Amino acid sequence: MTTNGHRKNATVWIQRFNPDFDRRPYLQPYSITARQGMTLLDALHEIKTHQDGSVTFRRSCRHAICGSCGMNVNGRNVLVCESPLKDHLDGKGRVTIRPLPFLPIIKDLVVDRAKFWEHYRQIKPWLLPPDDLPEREFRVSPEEVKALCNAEKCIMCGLCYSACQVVALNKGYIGPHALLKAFLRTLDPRDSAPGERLDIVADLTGVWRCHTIFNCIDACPKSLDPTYAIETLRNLAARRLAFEEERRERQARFGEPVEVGPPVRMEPTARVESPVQTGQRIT
Amino acid sequence: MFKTTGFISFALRRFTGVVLVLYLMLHIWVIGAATQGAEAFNRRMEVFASPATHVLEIFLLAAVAYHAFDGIRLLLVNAFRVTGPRKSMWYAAFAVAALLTVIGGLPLLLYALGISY
Amino acid sequence: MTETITHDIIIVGAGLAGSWAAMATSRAGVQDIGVVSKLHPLRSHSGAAQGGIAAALNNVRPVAGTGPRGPLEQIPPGEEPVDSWELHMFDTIKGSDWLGDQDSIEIMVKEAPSIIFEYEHMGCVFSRTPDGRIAQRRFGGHSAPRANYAADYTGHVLLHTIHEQCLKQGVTFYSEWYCLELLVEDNVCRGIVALDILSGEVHTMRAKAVMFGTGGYGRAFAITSNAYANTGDGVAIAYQAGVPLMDMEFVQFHPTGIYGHGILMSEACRGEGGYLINRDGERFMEKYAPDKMELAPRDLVSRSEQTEIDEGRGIGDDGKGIYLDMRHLGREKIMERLPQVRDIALHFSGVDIIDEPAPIQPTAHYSMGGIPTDADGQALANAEGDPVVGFYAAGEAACVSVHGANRLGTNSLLEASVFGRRTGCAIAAFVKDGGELQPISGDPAERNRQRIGALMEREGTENVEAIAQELKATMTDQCGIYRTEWKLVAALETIRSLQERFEAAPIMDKSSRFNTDVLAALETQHLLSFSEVIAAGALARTESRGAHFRTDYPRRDDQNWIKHTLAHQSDAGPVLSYRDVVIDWEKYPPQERKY
Repeated sequence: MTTNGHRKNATVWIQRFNPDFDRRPYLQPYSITARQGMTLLDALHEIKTHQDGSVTFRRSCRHAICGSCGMNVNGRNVLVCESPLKDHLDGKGRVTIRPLPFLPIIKDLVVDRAKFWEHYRQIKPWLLPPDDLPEREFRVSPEEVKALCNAEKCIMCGLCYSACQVVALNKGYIGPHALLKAFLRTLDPRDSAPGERLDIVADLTGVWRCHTIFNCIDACPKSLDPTYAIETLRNLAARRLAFEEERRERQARFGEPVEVGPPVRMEPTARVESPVQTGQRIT
Repeated sequence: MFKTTGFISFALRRFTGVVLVLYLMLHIWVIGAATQGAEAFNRRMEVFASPATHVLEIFLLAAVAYHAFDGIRLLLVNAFRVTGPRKSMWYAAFAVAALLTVIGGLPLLLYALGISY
Repeated sequence: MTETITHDIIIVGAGLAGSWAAMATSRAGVQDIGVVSKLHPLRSHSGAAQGGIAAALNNVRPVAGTGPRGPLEQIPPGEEPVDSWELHMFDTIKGSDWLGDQDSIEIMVKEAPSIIFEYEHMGCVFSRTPDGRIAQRRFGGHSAPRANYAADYTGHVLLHTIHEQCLKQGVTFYSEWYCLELLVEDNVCRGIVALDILSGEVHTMRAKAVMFGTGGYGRAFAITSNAYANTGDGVAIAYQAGVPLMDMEFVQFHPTGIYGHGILMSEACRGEGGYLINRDGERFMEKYAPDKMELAPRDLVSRSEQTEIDEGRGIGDDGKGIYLDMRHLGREKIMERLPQVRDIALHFSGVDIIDEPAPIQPTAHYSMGGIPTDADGQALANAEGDPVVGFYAAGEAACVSVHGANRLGTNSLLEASVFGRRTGCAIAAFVKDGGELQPISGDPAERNRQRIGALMEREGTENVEAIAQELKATMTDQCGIYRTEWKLVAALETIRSLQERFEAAPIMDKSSRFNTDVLAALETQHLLSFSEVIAAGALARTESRGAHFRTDYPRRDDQNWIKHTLAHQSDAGPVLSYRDVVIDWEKYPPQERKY
């Protein structure tokens, strides 16, 4: 028996539950032929279309940008569309797929994300720009964009939220996804209300509820760092007035170009692999 | 979900924290006997003179050591916003705490067993 | 029995077009809006767009003397601009192979800079030049670097930004509600019927105006870059309601989809300098587009690839692939400008583009055709341009037409945004000028409930998915990049027989709660419905233009074929008519399209 992709048969255990008919969730096994290059999503489709049409799950783009297909596979939260089947089979060719944990189940692998979206809306994910908008774009330097640590890449898939033990224990906690979004908006130099944002998140249901368990980082399919974002927000909350002053000063300089001089060739700068540099200051 | 070092560190932190709180209450009760004079104090201390207590004190040392060094780790994470080497930092904190428990616990154990050194 | 839901405006589809319309309408003072989407808005396929959004901002120019693949630099203040809306317009007209309506193209390119700045003011995180302006890069078919980008996930940041703005405006979203029917009587739109996927309940939804931003129909093909959700439901539903469809035969095949999967590898790969290589190691684009090479428009590159494949110079197990080589770009450039593309190649073909060339193949990508509209999103009822009162469309589901026979990259995000905004303003004006709720005859909700009930109770030996797969194979082989008469005739026959066989395909999931099996069946029914229109339009158009290529009529025929195909539904199949293309014969007369 091998698990190097040449296995022919795989057993996929899927958690089933229809609240209209079933008393409690149960695992159901399905046997499929594992084709070369098959992802877990392909396996689910194979089962749904040829064996059991009632297996229900969400999916759309199948290349990890829409965020629909988050599920719990062998105990870990993953996006099934980018997870190769062979990487998740154990020595006996089995894999177990459950819905994202700690969220109410609507049916089978579909969970209720109402609270997830509510927390997202709660932190005001839209930018609050200054009153006088420039004719063209705001001048934002590449360094300021880099300081956002790719937080704009977040696809709101919910893997972090559902992996977080604090979310499991405390439904009031707004969650790593919302705090990452709040970080993105708070650190954006175009945002003119950082104080207001810090008020919202520097709360017992916000940044102070995080217990630094780091499950969010482990779960994120885009390699983002919600814990870093939360720690940053904590630090900013501690020096809120100074930060507001810095922001006002920055916005007063919006009329000036960021760098003046002869034309600079746009050679690529080195990409920061990890968003964290010890002692990194935010401007 | 429950097998990550993050969760284990959190669970141990909580557990040792509770242990320390309970110990503190016990400690205050014991020491508080001093307000009633030397004899009352000595009598209360007698309760905890057994070898079993000394063994329990090793566990207390473990709890204090773990909670302290995990706490220092968290302070570093918070102050310097370090998330990259998160697993190694926890292993390091755990290792230091374990080492201290062994170093400090060994004499306690020998004392409990009545072996002089 | 369920309540009838009423709003002033109902928008179906929450991607860029639908969300812009919702936001523009709300800002114009009409607040009673309901946005119906079969996915959560942030899952819309607009978010999958990668390369950029076009506008002649003049932030960037090629470094003098370094040639068409050399580095770019920011334009210092006060110096000569290299780009203009006129140039953008010409590029788009030429890209459309002179089938685009030039008045609408002019509107789109003129409004392009303002829409980019509006996105940026709303908080969109773009990549930046060293002096803080929005970064731009080269893109296929554009003669100046005007693709404004955010690394290689531009659509994603735009979608999230506009969705946040809708939340700020307090727009109501009916998330995971599926539109079943468009209610049009006497050329007046009265509302829609929608299925609440979660509960299985069907609701009639009345509105003074309805707008469709329902996206494209790439899922009619076997290899596609499109999400599972892109089953052309809006287009099919409008067709079934009597609204004609325009230019459906023009389906763009993107040259670089991952081999075997079709997942998009952005055109930015080529924009940043990637090469297309065949089995013999040659950069074959030299033969087909000596000037632009890999940066020729997509239809041309796809056909070039297909020719190489058909002539036996393809790669891969079945010889149907081509190599996309980006190794010479270097690690730094790839990690900074093409991170998502690298992840996609790693995950889905196991290749690290820093070290190896990626296997790709042409993939069905964009639907130029759709619901015909004017430049304000008003849907048209016939070739004369009479309106379907109260019905609007924008984005990929609409056909304005700005892309004509072939779309240039980065123009789709632009189209959806610009015309989404314009349509929103037009709808708000319609409602404020006295648009009324119209009466509906019968009980559409009950009718659809019975339709679904009948679907669930069907018996037979066919399989919904097998029928869909057969349709996709037929469309890809016979109605794909290279078409010819006998193939198209065969395709039409197959489609019709599949439509019949579909009636004997049962549904396995019998529960009413979140029934994705019924959804799959409805979507397959829609695929079968508009695929017939694609094949019929392709068969009738005896010329080759843009993305539509007939091996039996390989030339463009400007004498007879500068016109849009319109298709109305009838019992005997699609009834075709034709509409003139708006051309400024003095300024932009048709020319030979060479790159």
